[in-house]
Amino acid sequence: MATVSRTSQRGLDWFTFFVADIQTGFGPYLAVYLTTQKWNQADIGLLLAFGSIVGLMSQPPGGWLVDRAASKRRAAALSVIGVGASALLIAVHPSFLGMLVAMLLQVASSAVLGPAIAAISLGLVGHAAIGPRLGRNTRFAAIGNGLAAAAMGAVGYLVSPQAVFFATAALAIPTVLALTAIRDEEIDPIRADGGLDLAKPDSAASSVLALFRKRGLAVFALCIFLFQAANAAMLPLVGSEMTLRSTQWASVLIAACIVVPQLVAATIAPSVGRLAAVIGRRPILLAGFAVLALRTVLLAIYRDPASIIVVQALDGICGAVLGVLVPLVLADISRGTGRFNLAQGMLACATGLGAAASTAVAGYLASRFGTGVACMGLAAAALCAFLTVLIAMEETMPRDRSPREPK
Amino acid sequence: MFPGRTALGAIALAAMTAASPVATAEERVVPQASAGEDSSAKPAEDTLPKANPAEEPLPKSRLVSILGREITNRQGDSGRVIDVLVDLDGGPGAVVVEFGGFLGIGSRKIAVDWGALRFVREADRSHLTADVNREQIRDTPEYKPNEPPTVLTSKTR
Repeated sequence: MATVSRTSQRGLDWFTFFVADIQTGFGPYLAVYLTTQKWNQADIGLLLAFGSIVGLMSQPPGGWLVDRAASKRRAAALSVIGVGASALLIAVHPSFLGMLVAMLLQVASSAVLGPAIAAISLGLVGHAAIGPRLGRNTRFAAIGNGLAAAAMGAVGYLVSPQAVFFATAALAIPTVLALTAIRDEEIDPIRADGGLDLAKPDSAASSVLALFRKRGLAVFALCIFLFQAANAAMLPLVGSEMTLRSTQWASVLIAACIVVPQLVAATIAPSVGRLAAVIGRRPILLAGFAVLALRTVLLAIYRDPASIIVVQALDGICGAVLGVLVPLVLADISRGTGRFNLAQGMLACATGLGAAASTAVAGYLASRFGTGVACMGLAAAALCAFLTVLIAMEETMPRDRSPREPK
Repeated sequence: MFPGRTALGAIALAAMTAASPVATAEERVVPQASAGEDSSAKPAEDTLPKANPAEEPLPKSRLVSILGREITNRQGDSGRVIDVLVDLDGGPGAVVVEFGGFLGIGSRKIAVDWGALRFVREADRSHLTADVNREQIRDTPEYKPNEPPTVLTSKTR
C-alpha cells in the first residue's frame, strides 16, 4: 500500500475545516437574512421547504455521482465552487428566482460534497486506516463549525447579514486551495468507492441492488433516522428555552450552545476514531446513543441555562460519535460493492428525514403542550434509537484481520 | 416583488436630502393610525417641493417600509419586524417582531400592538422602538400564523 504524504493529510484536514465553514450561513440564518431583504414570511417558508425537499432528494444521486466520478478531488472542487457561487448569488441578488437558483446550486453541491470528503479519505488511507482518519476529519470539521458559527454570528451582527454570504463566498477560495494540496494520484478511485476487497470486480457484487440487499445498511439507516428524530429538535428547543429564560443574554447563551459541543467533539473525535478501530463500532455506537437518550431526559428535567450548557456539551460526544461512525460503518458495510458513496447519500437522506420529523413533531408538541412534553417525545425517540442499535445493529468491523494491518 | 438594495438606497438618499433641514435632533413620536394626516408631520412637509398637496400630503420618498427593520425596547432587547398585521378595515393593528436568537436559532416571534410602537426621528431616518419591557416579551405566547395572535400592548396603558 502506497504511503500517504503528509501534504495530502494536511490538505484533507484543512479541506474538512473549510467545508464546515462554508456551510454555516445556509440553514436557519437564511431566514434572518431574507427578512432583512424585505422578504415576507410566506415566501421564506416556501423557499426553505423547497430547499429541504430538493435537499433530501438530491442526496442519493449525489453519492451515486461521487461513486462514478473518476476524480473525487475534481468532484469536490466543483461542488465547493457551486456552494461559493450560491452564497455570492444570495448576497447580490436575493430575488425569488435568484434564491431558487442559489438554493438548487447549494443543495446539489452539498449532496456531492458530503460523500466526497469521506471518499477522498477512504481513497487516501484505505479501509485499514480509515477509523483514525475519520476521527481527524471530525475534529477539523468540528473546529470549523464552532469557529464559523461564532465568526458568522459576529459578522452578521456587527457588519450585516449580507456580509455573512460574501464571507462564505470568499471562503470557497481557501477551501479549493486546501483541496489542491491533496495529491490526486494518492487518492485511489476504486478504494474511494469501497471496492478494495474485490479480487476481480464483478458486476453482481457491485450492483445497486446488492447494496440494497445488505441488511446492515437498512438497520443502520433506521438507527440514524431515529437518532436524528431525537436529536435535531434539541437545539431549536434549547434555543427558545434560552430566549424564554434570559432575553438579555439569550444570543450569547445560544451561541455557547452551538460552539461548546463543537469544542467537545473536536477534543474527543480522534480518540473515537482510534477506539473504533480497536474495540469495534458497536460499543461506541451504543455509547453515543446512550448519551443522546441521557441528554433528552436531562433536558426534560433541568432547563436552567447552566444545565442546558451541560446538556449541549454532551451533544459534543454524540456529534463526535456520529461524525466518525457514520462513514466508518458505511465503509464496512459497502466494502467490496464500489457503492460507498451511494450508501453515504442514502444515509444522508435518512438523516434529513429524521431531522424533518424531529422538528415537525417536537415543534408541534412544544407549542401545544410545552417544552417538557416535547422533550419527553424526543426521549421516547432516543430510547427507540438506542434499543434499535442494541437489538438489531451488528458489529460491522471485519473480524478476519487485525484493525491495523502490520506490514 | 422584492425591492432591491439599490432602490432602497435611492429612497433612503432621497429621504435624507429632503428631511435634513428640519429633522435635526427633533425627537418626534408619531402615533399610529393617523400617520397620514398627522399634524406634527406638517412642518417638515412645508420645506419639501409640493407636487400634489391635496392628494398626497407626504411625498413618496418619505414613506418607508418597516419590514425587516430593527426594533428595540428600553432595556436594549432587539428584534426585527417580520410582518405587519392589519384589522379588517385595513388599519395597522400590530407588527410581528422576531426577538433574540443566534444565527436564526432560538428566536421568538411576538405580535406587538401598533400603538406600542414609537417612531423616533434621528436626523435622516426614524428609529423604531417598542414600548414593551423584557418581562412582557418573555411572557407573551409566541405568534403563530394560523392562530389568533396574542398582541403585546404598551406597558403604559
